[in-house]
Amino acid sequence: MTERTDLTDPRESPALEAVGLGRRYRRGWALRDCTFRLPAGRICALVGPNGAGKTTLLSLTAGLSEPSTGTVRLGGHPARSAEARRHTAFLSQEKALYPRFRVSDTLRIGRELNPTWHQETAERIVAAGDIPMDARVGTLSGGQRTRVAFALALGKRPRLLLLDEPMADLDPLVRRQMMDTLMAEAAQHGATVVMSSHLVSELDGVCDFLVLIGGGKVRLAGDVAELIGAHRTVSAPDAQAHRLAGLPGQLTVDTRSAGGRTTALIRPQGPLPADAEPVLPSLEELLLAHLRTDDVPPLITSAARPGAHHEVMV
Amino acid sequence: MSGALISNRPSARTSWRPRLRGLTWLVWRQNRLAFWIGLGVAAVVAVYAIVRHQEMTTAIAQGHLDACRGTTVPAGDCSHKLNSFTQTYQFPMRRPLQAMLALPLVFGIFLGGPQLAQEWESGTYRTVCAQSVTRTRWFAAKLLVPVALTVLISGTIAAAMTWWWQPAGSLLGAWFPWWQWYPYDGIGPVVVGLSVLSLLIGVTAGLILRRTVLAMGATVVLGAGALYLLESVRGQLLPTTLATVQRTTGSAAPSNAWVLHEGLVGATGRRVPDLVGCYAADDYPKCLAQHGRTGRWAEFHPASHLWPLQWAETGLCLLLAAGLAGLCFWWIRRRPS
Repeated sequence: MTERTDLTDPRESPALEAVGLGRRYRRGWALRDCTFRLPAGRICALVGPNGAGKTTLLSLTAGLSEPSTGTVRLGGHPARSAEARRHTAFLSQEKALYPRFRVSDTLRIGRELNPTWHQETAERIVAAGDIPMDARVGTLSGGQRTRVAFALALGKRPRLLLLDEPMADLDPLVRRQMMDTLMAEAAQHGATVVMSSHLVSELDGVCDFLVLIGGGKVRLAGDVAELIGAHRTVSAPDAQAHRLAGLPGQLTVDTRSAGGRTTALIRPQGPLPADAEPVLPSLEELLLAHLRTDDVPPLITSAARPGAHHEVMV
Repeated sequence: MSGALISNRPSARTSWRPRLRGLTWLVWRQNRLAFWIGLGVAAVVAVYAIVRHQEMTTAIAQGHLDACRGTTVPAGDCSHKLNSFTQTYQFPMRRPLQAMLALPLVFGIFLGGPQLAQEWESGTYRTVCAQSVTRTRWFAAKLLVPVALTVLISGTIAAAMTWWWQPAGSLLGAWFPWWQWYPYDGIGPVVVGLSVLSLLIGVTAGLILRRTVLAMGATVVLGAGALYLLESVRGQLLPTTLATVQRTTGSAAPSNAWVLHEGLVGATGRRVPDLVGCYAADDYPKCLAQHGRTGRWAEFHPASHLWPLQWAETGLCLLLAAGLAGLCFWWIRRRPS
């Protein structure tokens, strides 16, 4: 095997690597100087408030739009190359399908346009939703349509699956089913998944990697456990809240008061006072604290830093 | 052997049936309803035209109308015969020939306008471009398949209308001038040229405006404008014939010619201005002669220019259509999202 084929092996190159990625529209920058790296095989949550640039980032990654600055590489290949296109599936927010097509026609789109298509995978996903193959897409319910769109994306057997708000219009039961299907397919084929969401709760326990963007920039990126490990919550009665605000030498991300107690999320920079009772935050606490503030320095762990070609665990 | 037969290929069809693949299949699948409707209409028109053509040739043979062919001022029997032929056979083809002017717009509005606008409006282009095909190739298919359908359908209808018109046109000559907007816009290759141009106007409008209804409306306006402009440059597409005839009372141009300009000449053959004073004279030609206007000149297209003019205009339409296609490709590369 030559060195070149080694480089194209998805396990050697990161599934996704963005360097200085930016996109400017007429209104201004939708995404700016976005730099991070996603190792292969991870389930990555892409979190941010509405308008933060999540859709722009996914669009650039899927090759649907061209960056104004920077590059994005998928498994070592430029985003708009044939190789990247072949191994990447993208499910857009609107999950637009042709309403006059039958379900079988919709799956045939995948079959006709993708050399890696796997019909049985797609048919299994459709069948699990009790959707008849000869039903017209326009007559299906929103949840059923989403399922067909999932079948079209997963039938491609992608190495990288990009999902933009995939569960937004599903009821909780179907949401759980689709998430299970998604995880099973991803695990079976070692696919990497990037899933944008503003529903923090649906990501917990599913994602092992996190990219948080806000104001068009990357604010947090890295392994979920590592990111949580880099933070602590400390709390005190409201009367002693001033103690939390000014913890010497610590970086306070956010403080909030509820039920007579003030809680602060901090990024410890050194030993904490013994009476601060620090605990590890939950993913939700970590995300909410960072979503509420935008003046904290970004935290990008070594696994998410481009250029580091081997994962270094801290 | 049985193992080979039970293949897990998703669909093993019999080999005689042509099978579309890839993007061609997708775009065909999107447009097949329009195609079957168009082909159905074309088939009806074709059958009707064949029947009418047959009726006319029978009537011409039975009424011995061939003897009247080419008579510029039919008199007596011929006048009566041609009059009754016109009423029976030429009147019913007027409205269809006039309606043919709208045919190109139909392709532009219903096939061209929504072709891309609908994809952008509903976001389905994202779904297609997320497959393993490039945007440029998808766009090429979105362009070429409708162009092929347009050429096939408009070509069939144009051939049928030409077949229907031909016996009447050649018999009646100057009584049914070839160069008037009907039949000219309703027969021959120019129908296909105008249809393809109109289709491209629709596609381009859809690509730039990204709204189906807007694109359809813009196609009506721009398509009608293009028809008007082509109509006004038509006479200049081929070199005209120039003739000067002395001592004539009629035109210097032959019968059934498309006269673009004409006027009077003096004895030397030099063009001289018209003499308004003679309009009121009892003997107009004599009045002109007295003032030294001895002949006439004319700049015209003879009847033999019908098909060369049609092909020239078709070529111009296809050139303009190719220009619009180039604009679309440039636009889609420059503004990818």
